[in-house]
Amino acid sequence: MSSSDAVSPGREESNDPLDVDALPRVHTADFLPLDPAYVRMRTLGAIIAVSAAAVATAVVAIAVSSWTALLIGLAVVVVIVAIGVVQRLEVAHMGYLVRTHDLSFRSGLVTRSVATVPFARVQHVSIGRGPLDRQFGLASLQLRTAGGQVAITGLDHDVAERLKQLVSDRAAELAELETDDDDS
Amino acid sequence: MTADPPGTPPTSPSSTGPAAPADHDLLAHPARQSPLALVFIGWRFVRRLGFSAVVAAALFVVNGGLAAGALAFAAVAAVTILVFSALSWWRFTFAVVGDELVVTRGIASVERLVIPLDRVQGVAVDQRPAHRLVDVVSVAVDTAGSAGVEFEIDAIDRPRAEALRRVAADARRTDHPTEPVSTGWPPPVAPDRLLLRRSPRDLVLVGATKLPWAGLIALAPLIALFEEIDRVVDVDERFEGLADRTEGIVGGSMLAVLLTVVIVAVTVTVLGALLQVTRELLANWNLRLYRTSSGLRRTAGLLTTTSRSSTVRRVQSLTTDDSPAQRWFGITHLRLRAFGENDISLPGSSDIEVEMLRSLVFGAIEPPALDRMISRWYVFRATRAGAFVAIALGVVLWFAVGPWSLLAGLIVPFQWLAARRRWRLRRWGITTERIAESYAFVSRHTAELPLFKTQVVSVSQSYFERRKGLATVELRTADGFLRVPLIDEADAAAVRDRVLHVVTTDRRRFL
Repeated sequence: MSSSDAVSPGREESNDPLDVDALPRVHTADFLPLDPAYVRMRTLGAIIAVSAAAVATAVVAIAVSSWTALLIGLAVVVVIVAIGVVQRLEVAHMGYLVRTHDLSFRSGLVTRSVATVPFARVQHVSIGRGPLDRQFGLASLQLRTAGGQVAITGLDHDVAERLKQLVSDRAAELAELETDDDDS
Repeated sequence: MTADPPGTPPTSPSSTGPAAPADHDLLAHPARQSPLALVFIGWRFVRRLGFSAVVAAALFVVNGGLAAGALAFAAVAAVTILVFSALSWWRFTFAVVGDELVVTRGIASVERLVIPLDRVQGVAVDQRPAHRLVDVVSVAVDTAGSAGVEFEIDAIDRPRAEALRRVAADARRTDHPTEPVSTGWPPPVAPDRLLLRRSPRDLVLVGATKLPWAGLIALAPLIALFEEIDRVVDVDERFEGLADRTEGIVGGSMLAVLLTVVIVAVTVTVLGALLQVTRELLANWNLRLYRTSSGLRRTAGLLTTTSRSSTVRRVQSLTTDDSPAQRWFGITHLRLRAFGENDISLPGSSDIEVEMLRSLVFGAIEPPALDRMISRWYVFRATRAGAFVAIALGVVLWFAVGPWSLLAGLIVPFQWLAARRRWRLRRWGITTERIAESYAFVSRHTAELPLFKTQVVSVSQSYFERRKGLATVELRTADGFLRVPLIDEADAAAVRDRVLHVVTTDRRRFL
């Protein structure tokens, strides 16, 4: 079956074999990287979180022994460096791919995953921006479907806005093409 | 199981059928719920406070630890709940205005919920034992845009509930462009047709063929209160007495212990089976499935009667679950998993009934052949996990029981045998339009979904899978998901591409 064949209502009688090789593929190489500022943002976020915890612990530790405080300080440095490396590796692997009919998001470092949302299934699309996102000019695009949501983080705000518009338009176009099957 | 043979006259309860102008008149004016709803609203407030907190407070009172100030606090809390319940009941009204269902609710800020009737996908009507006292029912309404219940009416009289269902069903039918719309009123509509029903005998068979130990879950609260019960009944002493008597009869202590274990196991099994049968009879008494003008409707229940209706389109996937005994008798627990709260559950379904309902909801195409297996690395991975557990357990137990802790190593061969069985029985298959899977250990589970119902498709690879060239593919629908782990990564990508192709080209609505 060629890709132009529509699986239309009333096709219940047919069950033709499909030429899998002819189907369009999600090529890994085509994925676009996230905004470089996203690495910096995540590293800064990790530094703030770990430092806050470390300061609180150190304040208590100083009362006990100065060596303990030093050890905590060293541990914080090690953790921050490790998180920075992991964040960089993880973000380097993240990416998104926009095609005519769907949008894919690649994520994960140890367990890697590619989630694809067809535009025809998007119920709601929104943009989220936290304080750090705003500081770095970033945004996350959330695509909600009836079966869960996929959030693409680390996008340039302008890119996110344009993608949101694209997804909304495509979802609306495809919704108009939907047909009623025999539901009676 | 019982199914109407072809040509059987349709069965239609008087409560169903096309909506009449009288239904609209009945629902035209904003109406409050029955005063019985106060009880349910109050109960909901209590649940929000936290059931455990209320029980703890009650125990505190019973044990005499209540000071005068705390007593006043409890009284204020009770009055507050009463006042809030009354206000909530007073402010909640519903009516059908034109083509819209209008609900007003809220205490401080009043919310006006307007739902176009054609968006109502399901109207569930339940009658709990408390409802029966004054012959009222509760109603839950699902809409196309809500994964859960959009709103619930705790207690209204049955004629009003049935009128609401008829009006909603009518709106769905007349909204349907593929069906001829009559200019007359009421529009012609086929009466509800009985598709299948369950007799008490069917239900006893279903309960008796379930795994009996699962039925013991009903005793979980009793187990939690074991110490309290023990104070009254002195269970420990009775068990010791049983062991002593057994020892007196058979003489040897080892044999006595063995016999005691056997007696307890048999008792527990019989008790579990009885509980399963009781549960089936209570939950599915007089179970009937109707084909209505707007979809499917399931009614059942002895103490609490339930009525679940759903459009066919709302059904996202079909699953079956059966125990070895059920397979022997040729029955299975069929579930039509519908978006929202209206899953249609049909225990004791025969192969013919499964086939009939599959054709009804997904069309008359052969289901995918379950001819593919997952990678054999599944066995290795599961056994390796078992080995890690055995090592950890062995190390911990070494300090307590010494060399006996080496027995923890027995986990590994057992885990290997279990994993091998699971791997051998795990199958999946895909066609141009559907995907299906089946897995089993003792009980068997199968699932089938049309590819065009997919909402999100993902392919993931753990570190282990990447090294072996494998991947896991997951298809999420509006109600549940289907996951096939540890298949060749090229196959996983092919499944994803096929799903995306079907979703792109198939224009049918998924809801």
